[in-house]
Amino acid sequence: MSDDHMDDVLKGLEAALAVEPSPEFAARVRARVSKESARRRAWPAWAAVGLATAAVVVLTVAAWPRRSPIAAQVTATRTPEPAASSSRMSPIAAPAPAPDRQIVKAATSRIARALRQHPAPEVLVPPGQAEALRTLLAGLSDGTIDPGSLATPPPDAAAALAPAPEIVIPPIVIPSMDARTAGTPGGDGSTGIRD
Amino acid sequence: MNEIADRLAGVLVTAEDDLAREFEARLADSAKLAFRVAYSVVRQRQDAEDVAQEAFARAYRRFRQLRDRQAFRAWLVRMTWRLALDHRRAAKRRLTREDASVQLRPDVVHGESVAIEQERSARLWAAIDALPDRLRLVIVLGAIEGHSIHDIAALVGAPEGTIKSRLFDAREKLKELLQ
Repeated sequence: MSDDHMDDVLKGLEAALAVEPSPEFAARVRARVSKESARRRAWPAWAAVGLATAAVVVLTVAAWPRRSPIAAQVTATRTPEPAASSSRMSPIAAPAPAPDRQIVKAATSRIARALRQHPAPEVLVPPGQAEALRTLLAGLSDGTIDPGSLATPPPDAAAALAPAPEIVIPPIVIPSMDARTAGTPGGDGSTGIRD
Repeated sequence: MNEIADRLAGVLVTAEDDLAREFEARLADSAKLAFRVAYSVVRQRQDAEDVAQEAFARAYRRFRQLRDRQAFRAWLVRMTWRLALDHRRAAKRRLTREDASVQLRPDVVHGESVAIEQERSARLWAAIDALPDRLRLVIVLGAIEGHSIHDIAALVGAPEGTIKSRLFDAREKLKELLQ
C-alpha cells in the first residue's frame, strides 16, 4: 500500500470520527453533573449541622455539674454491709472511707428519735422458741426457776459426755533415700539430665 | 453557633457554584472530544454518549484536582478511553452470553453506495481494532479534530518523540492490515 493510499485511509478515519453527538448529549451531561453537584451541595449543609450538633453535645457535657464527693459517700453508706461479712473481710481490703460527720449526726439523731418513740426495743424470737422463752420468763418471774441453775449444765448431759478414746499415732517411718535402690532414671548416680 | 454553621455552609456552596461554572466551560470545550474518543471504540452513537457522560461525571467528582485546562482534557481523554474499552468488553461478553449474531459494527451509513461504504468502513475499523492499544489511541487522536503531535503528546501524557514513533508504527501496521 502506497503512502498516498495510506493518507486516504487516514482521511477516511478522520471522516468516520467526525461524528457529532446528539443535541441532547450536552443537556444529559449537564443533568448528570447537576445531580452530582446537588449531592455535593448537600454535603456541606449536613456537615455544618453535624458540626453544630457535635459542638452542642461537647459543651453540654463540659458544663454538666459533676457529682460532689459527699453525694458519692451518701450513696456508699446507703448500702451497708452486714457485720458478719465485715468480720470476714480480707486483711488487704481497703478500709471503708470514714463517713461524713453530718451523715453520722443525722443517723444518730434518727436512732435516738426511734428509741424515744419505742423505749422497749422489740426483740425478735424464732417462732419455734417463743413458747419456751415465755415459759422461762414466767418461771423466772414467779421464782419457780432458779437463775443460778441455768449456768450449770444438767447432770445427765454431763454424764453423756464419754471420755474420748486415746489416739495412738504410729511412728512415721521415712524410707532410705538411696538412689541405687530406688530404680529412678538417675539410679546410676547421675542426675538423669543430659549436659 | 448556627450563624457560624450557616456562614460555613454559604462559603462552601459559593465555592461549589464557582466550580460548577468552571466545569461548564470545560464541558463546552471538551464534550465533542470525549464523545468522539468513545465513539472510536464503541462505534455506537448512544453507547458513546453514555460513556462520555460517565467520564464527565467522574471528571466532575475530581474537578478540584483537574482545573488546569490541558490537564482536564488529557485526564478526560484517558478516562473516556478506558471507560469505552470497558464498555466494549462488557458488550462483547453480553453478546457472547446471549449468542447473538449481531456484531459490533459502526452505525449504518445511508447513501447511494451503501454496500461499498460499509465494506470499506468495516475493513478500516477491523484494522484499527487489530492495533495494540497504545498505537490505536494515538492514531485515533490524530484523526480527531486534527490534533498535532504536540497535542497528542499532551493528551496521552508522553513525550513527542514517543508519539511520533507510535504514529509511524501505527501507519505501518495499518498498511499491513489493509493490504
